[in-house]
Amino acid sequence: MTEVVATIAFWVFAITAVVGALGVVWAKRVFHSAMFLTVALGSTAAIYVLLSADFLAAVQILVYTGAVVILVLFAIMLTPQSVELPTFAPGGQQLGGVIVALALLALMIAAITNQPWPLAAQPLDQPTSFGLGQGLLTTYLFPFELASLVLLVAMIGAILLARED
Amino acid sequence: MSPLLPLALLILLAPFLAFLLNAFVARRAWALAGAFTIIGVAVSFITSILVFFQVWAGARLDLTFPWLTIGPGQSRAVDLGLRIDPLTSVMMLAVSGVSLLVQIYSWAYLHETEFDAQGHPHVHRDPGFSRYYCWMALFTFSMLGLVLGSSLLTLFIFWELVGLCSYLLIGFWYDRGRTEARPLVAEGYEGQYADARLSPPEAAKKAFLTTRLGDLGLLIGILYLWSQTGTLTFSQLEGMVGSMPTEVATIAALLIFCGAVGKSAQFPLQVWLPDAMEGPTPVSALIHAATMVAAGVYLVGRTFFLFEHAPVAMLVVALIGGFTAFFAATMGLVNNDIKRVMAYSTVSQLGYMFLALGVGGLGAAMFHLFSHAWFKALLFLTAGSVIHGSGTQDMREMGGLGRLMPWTFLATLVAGLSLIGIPPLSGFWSKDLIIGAVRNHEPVVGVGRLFTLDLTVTGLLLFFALMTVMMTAFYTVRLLFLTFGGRWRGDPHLAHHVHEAPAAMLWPMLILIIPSIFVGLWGSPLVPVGHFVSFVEGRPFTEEMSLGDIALPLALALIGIVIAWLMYGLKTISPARVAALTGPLYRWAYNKWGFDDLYNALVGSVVVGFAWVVAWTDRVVVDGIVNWIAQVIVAIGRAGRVVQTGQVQTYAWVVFGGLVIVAAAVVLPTLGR
Amino acid sequence: MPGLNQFLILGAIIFCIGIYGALSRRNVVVLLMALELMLNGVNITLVAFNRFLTPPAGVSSSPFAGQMFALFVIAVAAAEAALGLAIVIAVYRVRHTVQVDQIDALRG
Repeated sequence: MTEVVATIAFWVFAITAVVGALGVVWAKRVFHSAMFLTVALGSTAAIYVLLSADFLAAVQILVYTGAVVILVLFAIMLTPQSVELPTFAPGGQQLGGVIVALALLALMIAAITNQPWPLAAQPLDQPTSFGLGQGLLTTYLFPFELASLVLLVAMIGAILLARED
Repeated sequence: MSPLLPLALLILLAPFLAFLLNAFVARRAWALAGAFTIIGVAVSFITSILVFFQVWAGARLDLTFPWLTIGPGQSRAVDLGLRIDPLTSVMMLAVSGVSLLVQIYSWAYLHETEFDAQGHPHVHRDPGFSRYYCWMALFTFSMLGLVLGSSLLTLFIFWELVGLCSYLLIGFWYDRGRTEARPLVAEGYEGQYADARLSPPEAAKKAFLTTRLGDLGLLIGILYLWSQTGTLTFSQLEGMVGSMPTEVATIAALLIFCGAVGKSAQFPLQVWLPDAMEGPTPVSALIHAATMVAAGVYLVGRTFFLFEHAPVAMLVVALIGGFTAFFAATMGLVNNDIKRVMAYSTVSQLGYMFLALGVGGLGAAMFHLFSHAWFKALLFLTAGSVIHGSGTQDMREMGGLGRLMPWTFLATLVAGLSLIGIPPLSGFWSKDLIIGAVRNHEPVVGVGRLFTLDLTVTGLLLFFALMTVMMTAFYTVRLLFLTFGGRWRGDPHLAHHVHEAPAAMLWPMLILIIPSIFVGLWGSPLVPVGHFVSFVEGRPFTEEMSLGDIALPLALALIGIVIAWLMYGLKTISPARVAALTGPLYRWAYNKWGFDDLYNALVGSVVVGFAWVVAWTDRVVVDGIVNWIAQVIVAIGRAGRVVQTGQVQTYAWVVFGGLVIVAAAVVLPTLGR
Repeated sequence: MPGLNQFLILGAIIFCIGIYGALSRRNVVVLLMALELMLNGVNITLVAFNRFLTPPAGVSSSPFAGQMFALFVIAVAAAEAALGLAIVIAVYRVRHTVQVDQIDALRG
């Protein structure tokens, strides 16, 4: 039973994620792109849940859909552009982008399907918060501190850059 | 080691040391510069006298050392060295003696006396005083080195040095421009103009380039001779000449003669000597009368053993010498510039010397060189005195200087009579020796008979020689009358400024009178033993001078004198009438037989044509290549610039494109079904 | 429950859509959004690996290595988004445009 639910859930959220992503890229107005981004990011959070990454799903919603999308919306509002401006790159460039993206996709799919993945006997379906917390403060302490430093620097940098002077 | 060697080195190095010291002497210490040169040349002169007496007693020097060895072994070595023999010793006497007197004379010549509005004299020294003495020391050193050389190479090195000094000294007044034809201020010649003259740098360049042409022949001759014989030392060549085929000797001799033609201003390279008169008159006296121009004669004399084995070359030398003597004299007949007349006279007398060499009279030629050096130098120094005292070079503006400058007049008279060949002055003996040599010459080529006259080459040469005697007499007496006779014809305001030469200029002239009179006796029958010719040639001189030999030239000289006296002394025949009657001939002679115009046109067209070709090549080919390279680079840049669009997305596309390629390279090989 | 491959392919698709968006839109903000999409695709892949693959051997690594990785990616992506948008605002003040092809100092 859960298998069927999981499968359906996967396909639903996969499609919404892809649709959202395509919407980001194809929307004519920036604001619509931002909305589609929200949809895509939210769907990704659902995918995380399916992959038993509960903590990560929460973080995804909090940080991505909560903070990053707000940031994007602020940026959109602070940089008003007239609507008549062309939104898409010239045709040649578009074609180049399509080619590169499709080529890369094909290569990746080929690599994925041909690779003999070392699958575990049992998929990892455990609550993760405790394990992630413990890991952050023991094994991954150094990257943790660094990440905080990165965030500090980014914060200061963003303030400096965006300040009116 | 020969006792002559230290003396030879002293002779050479004294003026050279003077030159070096002068190069470092400041312009303010002008007196030092003059002193160094005069002392240096005096040392050379005194040592030359000592050397002469030793050589008279039989001492010789022939020192060579190999400078450069080409090929294996000593067999093909190029030598430098010093040589003293009778020929060298008399040349050194003439060179150092005349040079010393000229240096002393120059001291006063380079000081001009100007009179201001109140008539007070101001002495003004030439600003190039030190430079003058520096070059004069270098020249004396070079000329002495030339005659002391024991190999053709040594001679050639000094030959070129002498040419350089000539260039430097002709162009001494380098900031003087061209002299335009100005109207004469002369009574009786109103409406006529003084000749236009080149600027000294132009004259110097003309001299240098013209002699260069001759030097080219000389250099080729030296190389040819070396390639045929493997040596350039005179003594060795003399030994080899017997076994040399005639063609080789002829070619070498003719090429060497080219150098002589250039340096001694013979036809067809005579054009530079009249213009060389732009230099200071003492320079003309020393370089262009007595010494450097005689270097050509000396060269042929030194290599005479080569010419003796090449009869064709001898004939060429004689013909060119004879013709030059003749046609230069015609130009001297009509010219009005006192220095120019003497320049043509020098060319003519040099022609005599080559004529003598061409008929085998080595001793006669050298004797004429020796005696001519003294009286020609004196003539130029007197001309310098006249110019210095009267302020003009054009004889039409002179006159009456016999009373105003008596000593100068005396000196000019003596030298002039010597030049004409009046016995018992020096010129008489030397000129008659030459005419005697021509008379006794066995011709190589006969040119058939005309009526009853035997028109051999000897006849032609005799005609040249004798006609020249008459013309020499005419132009000399003309010069004397125009300059010293009658009344002052020039600018009346200048009349009371005309003055005799100062002491420093007068004494060298008076001293030079002595050899002008007495040197000839050395080559006269009055000294049967130790005759000049036997001294130089090294064999006893047996030829007698018959009365006929003496009478004909003397008669012709007297005819020339009389005609000139009638025209310029007694004014019985008017020179203007004569000029009008001879019309085209007069103008032809005045225009130097058209040679200057011909050469200017030739050189001009060649040079301009060549320059046009070179300019075209530079503009089209050279610049074209350079521009093309630049354009290629610009094109590459333009092509490469495409990559730098400034667009972020272009760069991003490239990055991802590269990623695709790398991924393909990694993934595709693993896809094996 | 779909297998590893499906999740991986999903991640790949989102990643490539992000690439296409980065290359074909003129608005800088949309460019940054596409960048976020790419990072998201990568995260999905990482988490999928974490669930399905044998844990990496080694004393100091935990069984949650993949999720750790994804966590840090999120952190850094957030920082990068903040900075990127700050730059966009700063550039907009000077250039008054957010068109990528107009923010170009080179001529030619």
